[in-house]
Amino acid sequence: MLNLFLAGVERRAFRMARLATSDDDEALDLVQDAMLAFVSRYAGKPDGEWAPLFHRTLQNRIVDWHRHSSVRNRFRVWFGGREENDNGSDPLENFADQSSPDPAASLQRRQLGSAIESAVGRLPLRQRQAFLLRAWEGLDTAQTAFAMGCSEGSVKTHYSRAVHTLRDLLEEFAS
Amino acid sequence: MKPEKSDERIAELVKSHLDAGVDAIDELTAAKLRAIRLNAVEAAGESRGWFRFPRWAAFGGVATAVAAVLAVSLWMSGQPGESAVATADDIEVVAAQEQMQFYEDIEFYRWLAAQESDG
Repeated sequence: MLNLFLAGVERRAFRMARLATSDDDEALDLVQDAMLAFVSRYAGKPDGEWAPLFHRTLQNRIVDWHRHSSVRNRFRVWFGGREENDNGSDPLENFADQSSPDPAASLQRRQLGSAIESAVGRLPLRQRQAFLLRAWEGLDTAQTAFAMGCSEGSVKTHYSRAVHTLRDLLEEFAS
Repeated sequence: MKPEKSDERIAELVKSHLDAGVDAIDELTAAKLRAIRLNAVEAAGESRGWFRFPRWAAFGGVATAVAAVLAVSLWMSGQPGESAVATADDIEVVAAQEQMQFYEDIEFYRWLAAQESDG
């Protein structure tokens, strides 16, 4: 049962962590930490509660990573280095291209994917969390609030702002 | 397009892109994720195999033990010794009580004599 649950969330958890870190290894580390912490604390809970508990654990790890990363980047900037995420790599290059016989359609899809990836990546952390948990994971407002450790009102605000920002950034693709 | 419709469309667009990204995760990463999951499930099995008190029970147990030690020590300190007049101070107190009785008797006899002389 536990194995089935984790199998169902592992890839999306990785994608969420990947969106937050822009790095495969960091994302895998976060998923590993989250899974181990989850099973040690909540494996005995009823399986209906697992999804919000797992996402709360994962989101806590992501927030911790974000804080540490911010501190590291600040030190790098002070000492004249480049920011860690400023590596110029395309975040889509690790994902397989879906081949299409139509080059124009393929190009358009690549542009759309790149735009979406960039737009989601540009969202502030809390807005991205609210959007991904609500719109992608399908958690309701109360479950999202529990996973993020904030009030339902804050979730609504973050989600609304996230959608507004995404609408502005992806307007040309949404029509 | 109405803003609500536009928001739904945007959410759907992003969702379908993210789903496609999940399906496109390469084999190596998928294998690493599988290994991480199996490791976690194994860890859960190990922790379930051994009887462990929950954390609150451990804290509760310590608190109960401390309370029990305090209660026993207070009870022991309240127990009387082998004799009620074991020390010199206690004997003096008892003697003092006898003297009080003596003085009260004298007071009574004095009053009785006064009554008889008046009568």
